[in-house]
Amino acid sequence: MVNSYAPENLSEALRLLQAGKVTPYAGGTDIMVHPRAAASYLFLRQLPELGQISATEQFYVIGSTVTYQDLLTQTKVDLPDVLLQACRKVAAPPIRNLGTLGGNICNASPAGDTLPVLYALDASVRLARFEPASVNVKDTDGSISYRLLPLRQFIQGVRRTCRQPDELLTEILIPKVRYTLTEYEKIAARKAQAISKVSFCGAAAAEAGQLTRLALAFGSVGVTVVRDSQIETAILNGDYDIAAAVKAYDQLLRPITDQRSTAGYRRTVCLNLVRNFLTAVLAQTRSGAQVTDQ
Amino acid sequence: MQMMNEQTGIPFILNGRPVRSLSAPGTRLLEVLRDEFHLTGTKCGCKEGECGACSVLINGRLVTSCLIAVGSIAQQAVLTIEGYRETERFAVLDAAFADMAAVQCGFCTPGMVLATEALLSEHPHPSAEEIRQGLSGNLCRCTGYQALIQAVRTAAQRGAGLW
Repeated sequence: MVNSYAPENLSEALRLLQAGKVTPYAGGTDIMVHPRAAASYLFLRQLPELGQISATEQFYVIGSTVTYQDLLTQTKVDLPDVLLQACRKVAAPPIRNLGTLGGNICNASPAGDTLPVLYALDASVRLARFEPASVNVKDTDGSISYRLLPLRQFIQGVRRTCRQPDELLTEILIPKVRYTLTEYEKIAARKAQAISKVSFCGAAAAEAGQLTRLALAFGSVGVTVVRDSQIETAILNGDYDIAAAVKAYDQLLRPITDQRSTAGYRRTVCLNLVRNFLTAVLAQTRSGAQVTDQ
Repeated sequence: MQMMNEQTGIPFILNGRPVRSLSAPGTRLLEVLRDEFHLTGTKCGCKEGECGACSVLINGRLVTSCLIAVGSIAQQAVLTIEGYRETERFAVLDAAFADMAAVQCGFCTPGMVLATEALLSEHPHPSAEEIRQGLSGNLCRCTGYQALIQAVRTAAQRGAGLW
């Protein structure tokens, strides 16, 4: 007989994780597609530490077990609209009530709906582990240690992250940056309940007729979400016009053909999305307009 | 901390009554409802969250019971179509679905009814778009959806004040 656990706080959860082979279970919507009867689960949804949404001076801080529906209905924090747009495109209400932002990240599917947004907005993840007390310290039974790393570094491949077996993803941090134009697109067979053929997030900021920030992220066209800072910098510096930028992404992207779409379709859609977004960005920059998008 | 296995069981509230499941904590709630508690109104369509036939309400929220490990809902309140059938709201939905011919084979109906309950709880007078959104996780291969949308609209009108 295998035991599963519903810990009451983070410290307890981390100790259970360190003690043995338990599988962290947040929303369950990916795990339960292929359930394993003999699995020992660590149920995380009740942990108060992981369910919070807050903001500091620099960051939006989203607990890893916050659901898509929580993000869409909470009114406490003025979250980036482009993230909420992505949440609205996830599956349908029954799944949005279960699925979590931390789960979308740790599942590390290249088609994760929120991932292009989190990549474009330079999100980081905070990981916690339990540090047992050294033998010399008698009064304490240990403490929690944290590490923070960029999401782009955390996700390493298809369903592969650098989370260690004794670590939990506790929070997602999104820098508070003012963008003047953001866009999220999900291209799929139908609006609801579909896995994307291509997803895209663009974020740009312009100031006094000058493009100051640019991020372009593509989902479902590689083993991870694709972002290329060299191309972004070349566009920012004015080294690439739109045609040159599109050509650079044409050379960068290596989509594949699978059951959902073909390589050719994915490539064409991505390049159209880049062209359209950059056209809008440059038009806005030239006109010096300061349309606030978030 | 709560440790769970087939011996300790998993306590939760099922249609208003405290119960204890003796299934492994990783078992789908769908299977617990149908096979352990013999509540077969909750249907199994796809086992991957695509079809919505297994939808139930947990603490009032619409969820697909196929994607829930029973261990994850300890102490929480599950409402299935069998429990919902006893309510005044159900009577309104029952009549509206029948009058608008929103039921044909019936397989999607328990999930559709609970999705409608979740929708009307949030939006007592939903727009056409809100109805489509509210039912977007539930597939129906018979009606073509238009009759369902009519049924929800009719129920919202007739049930004014109930939601």
